[in-house]
Amino acid sequence: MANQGIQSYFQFNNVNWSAMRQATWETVWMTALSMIIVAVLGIILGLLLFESRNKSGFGWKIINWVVSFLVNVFRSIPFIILIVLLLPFTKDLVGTIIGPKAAIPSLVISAAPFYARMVEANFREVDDGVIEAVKSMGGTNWDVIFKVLLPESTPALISGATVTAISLISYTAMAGAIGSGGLGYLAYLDGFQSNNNTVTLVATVIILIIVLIVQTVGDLLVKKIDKRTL
Amino acid sequence: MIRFKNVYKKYKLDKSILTAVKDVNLEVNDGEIFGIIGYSGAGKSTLVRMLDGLEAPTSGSIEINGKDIAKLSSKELRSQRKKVGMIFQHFNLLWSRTIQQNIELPLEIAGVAKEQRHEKAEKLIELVGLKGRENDYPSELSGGQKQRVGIARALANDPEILISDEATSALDPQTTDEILDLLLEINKKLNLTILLITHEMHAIRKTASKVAVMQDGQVVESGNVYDIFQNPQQEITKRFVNEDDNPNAKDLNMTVDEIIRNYPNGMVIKLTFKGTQSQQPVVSQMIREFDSLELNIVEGSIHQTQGGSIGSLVLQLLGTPEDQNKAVEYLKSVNVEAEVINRG
Ligand SMILES: Nc1ncnc2c1ncn2[C@@H]1O[C@H](COP(=O)(O)OP(=O)(O)OP(=O)(O)O)[C@@H](O)[C@H]1O
Ligand SMILES: [Mg+2]
Repeated sequence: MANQGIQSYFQFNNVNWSAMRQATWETVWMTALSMIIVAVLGIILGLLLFESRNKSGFGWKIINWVVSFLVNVFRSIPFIILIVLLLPFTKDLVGTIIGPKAAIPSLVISAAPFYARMVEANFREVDDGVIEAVKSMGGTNWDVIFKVLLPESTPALISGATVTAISLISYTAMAGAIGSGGLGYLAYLDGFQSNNNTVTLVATVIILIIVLIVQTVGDLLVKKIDKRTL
Repeated sequence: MIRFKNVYKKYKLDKSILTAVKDVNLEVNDGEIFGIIGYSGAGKSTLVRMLDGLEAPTSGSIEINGKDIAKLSSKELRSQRKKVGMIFQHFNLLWSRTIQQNIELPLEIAGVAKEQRHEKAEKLIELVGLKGRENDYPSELSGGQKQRVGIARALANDPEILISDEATSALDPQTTDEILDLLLEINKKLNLTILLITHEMHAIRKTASKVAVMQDGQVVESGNVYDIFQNPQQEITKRFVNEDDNPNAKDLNMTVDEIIRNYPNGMVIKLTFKGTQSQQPVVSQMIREFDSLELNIVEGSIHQTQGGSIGSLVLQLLGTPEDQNKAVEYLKSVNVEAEVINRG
């Protein structure tokens, strides 16, 4: 491909559309699967952070310290380093270090702490008075979690998940650099390394479309669920 | 029967200890509306939170029907709490739930079956006058309507005691009266003991039969509302009574000042009439009794309490100093309380 001018972006017959479809699908499911795991893990960790905060028991203090430490450490490691760092762990866990499956552990480990902090902040936003009201009705801690914390913060949890999902999409693209598959990998391999700018452009546009869809769906859901102001 | 015995609550702060409740002794009988009044920070909320076991007293005991709240296991405490309904200043409704679902929440917690929950919620919605709004969300209601939901929710488990912690403090005067009327109606209909926490004497006067006045964590005065209104002992109680008596105290003072300037020889007095006295022509008899006596009417008002009505009248007496003094004596002889505000 000697053609390096602007028009190199528009050589659509150089695009392998079936590879593009395949890569799109890989990006979508890597993001979706890791997002599901991140959501579950993030809510559990966020809940632990929330519950252990300001509690006096020794056990709670340890939990708070350990979870905070892990969350802070893994949130601070740049994703591209984390993925390399986790290679041996990934190999043991999923049996391979290439392909979409291999990207999941690092995606989850980098995004879950990020989401956990958001979840904790969302729970802290819940009105103390409402929690007290449920306690004054004879509610247990589980009642507080399932009848107040989670339902009252659902819109915030969803908008946090939207933000997290969008960063996951860009992480999947970065994971492409070490052979995870997906659009990032395609853009890198077929686009950059083969000097095929059209592939890079098309991959970019598809990623933008996915981001846009995630954002729109997230916003619509929040709008539908949020009954605070009507 | 609720009994507070030598109750203290101390909070450890960074460097000092804050005594939020200090040696409180109170008894509340079943079925009565008991008012607790005090300014912000007096310890009212702390006191009732201990009654619901949300806080434990540092020392002393709080008993409901002979059971010491602080000695209950956490399971017993949870079932005890179902017998105590609470309403709050900021309503504390779940915005993610409809009105109906909010009212059903305590029933869900108590494990009541779905159909019975619906049935009960429907009745309560009717009781608090929100029929037709069951599927709306709290954000669609006015403050007064939200508090009605709060009241319905507090009544869902058929409590024996209802605690109202400043439930009308966020509402306008008209809505306040509506909510107070609703509380009175509930008290009569369900024979419920109500603890009414407030900083407005008006709310006490309108609903309560007994009142305790709190200041700096202590109960400084308590008794029948009617008695306390007539004869407040403590400075703070007088202030509360006056605030209620006379929301326009400033205007009154200005008027008195002006009248004294115009008639420097008069005497300004405040009369307090109790019960049936307020229906007798005491003042006109007084004028007839003393020849030189004339009067200026400055201000008058009448208040209903649960124990009867109390009237007050501010007058300026004119005429010879002798007759003025005799007139005051006369009023005392017919058992009308006469307080000299200003002697000319
Ligand atoms: N958890 C706590 N820790 C420390 N101090 C507290 C705590 N709860 C209450 N206090 C203090 O106890 C005192 C009494 O508070 P409380 O809330 O009972 O007052 P209140 O009479 O209900 O006032 P308000 O009319 O503003 O509701 C206040 O000085 C308050 O700062
Ligand atoms: Mg209070």
